[in-house]
Amino acid sequence: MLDRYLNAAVLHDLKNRLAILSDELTKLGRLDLPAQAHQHASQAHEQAHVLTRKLVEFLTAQQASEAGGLRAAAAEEIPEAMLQDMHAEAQMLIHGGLQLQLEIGAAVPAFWFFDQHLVRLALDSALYNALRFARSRIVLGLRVEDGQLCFSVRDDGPGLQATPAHNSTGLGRLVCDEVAKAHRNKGRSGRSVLRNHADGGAVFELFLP
Amino acid sequence: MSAAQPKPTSAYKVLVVDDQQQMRQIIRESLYRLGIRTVLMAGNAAEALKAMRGEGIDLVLSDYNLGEGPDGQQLLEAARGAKLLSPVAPWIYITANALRTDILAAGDFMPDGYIVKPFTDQLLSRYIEALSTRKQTLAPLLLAVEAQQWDKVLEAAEGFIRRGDALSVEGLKQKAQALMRLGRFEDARACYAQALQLNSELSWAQLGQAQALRAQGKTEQARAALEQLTRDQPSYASAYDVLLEMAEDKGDAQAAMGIAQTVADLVPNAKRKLRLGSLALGAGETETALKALEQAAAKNKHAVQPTPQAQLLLTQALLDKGDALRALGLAGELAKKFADAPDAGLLAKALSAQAQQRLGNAAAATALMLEVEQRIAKTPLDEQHKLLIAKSALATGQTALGQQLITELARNQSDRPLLLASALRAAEGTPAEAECRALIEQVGREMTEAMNALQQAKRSGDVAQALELGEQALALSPQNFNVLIELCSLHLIAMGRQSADPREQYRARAAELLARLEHSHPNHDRVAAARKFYRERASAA
Repeated sequence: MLDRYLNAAVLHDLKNRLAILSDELTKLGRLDLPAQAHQHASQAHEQAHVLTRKLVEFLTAQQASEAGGLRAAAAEEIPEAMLQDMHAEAQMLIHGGLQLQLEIGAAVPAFWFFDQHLVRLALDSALYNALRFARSRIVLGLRVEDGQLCFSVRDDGPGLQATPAHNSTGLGRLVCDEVAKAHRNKGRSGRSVLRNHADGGAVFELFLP
Repeated sequence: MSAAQPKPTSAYKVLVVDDQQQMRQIIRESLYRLGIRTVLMAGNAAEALKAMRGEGIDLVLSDYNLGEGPDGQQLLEAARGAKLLSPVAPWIYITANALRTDILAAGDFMPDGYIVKPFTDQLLSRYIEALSTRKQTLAPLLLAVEAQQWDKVLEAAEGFIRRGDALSVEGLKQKAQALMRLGRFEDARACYAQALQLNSELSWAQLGQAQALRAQGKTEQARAALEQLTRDQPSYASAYDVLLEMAEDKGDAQAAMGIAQTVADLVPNAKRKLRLGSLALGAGETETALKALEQAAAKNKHAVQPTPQAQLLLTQALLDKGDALRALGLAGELAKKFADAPDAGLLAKALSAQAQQRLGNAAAATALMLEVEQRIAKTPLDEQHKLLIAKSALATGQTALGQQLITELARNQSDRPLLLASALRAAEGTPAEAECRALIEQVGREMTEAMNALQQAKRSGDVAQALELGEQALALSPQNFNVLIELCSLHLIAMGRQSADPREQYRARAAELLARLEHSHPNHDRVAAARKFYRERASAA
């Protein structure tokens, strides 16, 4: 393993360069160019985002494997507001006839304790996964079950058995599991579940105590 | 910015701090697109502080890593510490990677949030809106905290707790802290327990509960709670800081060194390295001291406001190692660099005297120490600095000065066993070693006897006798914390028992002693308890 300060310095440099790359691609997208060029610029922009997310996922998994593991810095957050933010930001990722919906349960509390950065990382990973398989609809959900807060991302794709495994490194699932376990309260730990939904498609659930 | 006139974020004056010009530009363009037109830019901490001094900044967006010079956290601490920024103005880090908030919590000030690069305009906008709204809503509470008006803090906090939303947690946190400052430790514990009922893993509430236990004298319960917290959250540096203070109070040098090493590895900043170096120097662990102090001095070079302490102790560590030539050079540098600080100049002379003595220049050493002796009465020095001068005096044959300083230390710091052990070590190997040891032991006995007699008089209800004994003890040890606290409490007890005229005298003397304690130990739990006692007695009168 590299020295952690060298690690941090290299990472800082990489992220800065990715930010500059994203900015350049945004500027390119604003120029008066043929539609095809815009499409390429947009795809390149999206890839820069994916690359950044993958890098953060990798670092989170690395932190989870170190002594002491991954620890959530739980603070009071407004879960509904976070999911609405995620819904608004995800609109730019939606293409074709895909619909992105929100389902907020009636008994969702005004606030909950969780690490917003970690939870967003897990949910973004689930959302990108859902985007690959959804046919027409993705539902971002929020409810309380058995005294735990549950965020969910459901798609109407072919479901888990039909999903080709060779296209995935498993990093996203690992990170989601670690993020869930990093949250604790009164002797309970969080958990994450990826399962087939009874009405078809797959659903990812993140339970936070 | 005031709570009564909230500005729309589009009218904000925003300071962007990033060492990379291209990143500053990107952030500014993003802010422009969000309608924020007044954007100031700074490439380093010095430029940022200058901007904050001159302009009413409403929001700071700062990179955590600022290249050479102070980092984002040092800048934040300098800006908030000097109140260059309204407590209502949010501070947001724009960072390359997720920050360890448990490590950031080790500082005196925390950022309000952070955004990981690269980010979209929408994310930046939502972050700014959310944090600005939160801080503007909390303004009455935040302004009362900054003004240290604890009764107002309690009142405002109750209002937020009653809301039952996310801000109620901030209300609980600030209420508990205010109760600690008011010396209401049992109430503070209940408040922390209320927060832990919401979520058992809130590290600030676990730490607060342990601190309240410690303030109530329940040391073992506090230690157990803190040790559990470090097992559950191994990177929560603040818990180690309190454990370190407790080990120092107990005089457990080995435990203190171990904890100081852990926390200095966890948060390798100048403050933690200096603490480790200072402890190691006092314990005679020269190699550890040298390494930690070299690092502290290097980090201090980049500090927003460099202080001489790391270099002073490093010079002594070099002398202890036998490197007199380098020590002499460093002492010379110190005198030049801190020419405006009389204490640094005096200490540089004393350390130079030690170095000259070791280099065989006894006459030069004596001349330097004579200068020190002439100026010492006019120069305010803390206990560690007095110890450095005592060591220099004893090493250069100025035995009377050395013994005088060691006696003062033993009288005023009788409750700090590690400092007394350092005083003994300062005399080691000098002709005055045996005499100094005898002096420290004698003073220790005298102080114990004086305090025992005082307690005896207090227990037997003879307040007048206890007061007389307390005043005698204070005359001998004018800066002794235990004596000051005991005497202050005795005057307050006497105040409740006497008729009108002497009552005012007791009140005035208690107020004077309390002011001295608040000056020397502003955040000490026992001072908070004395302040509470004073308020109760004054209002009853």
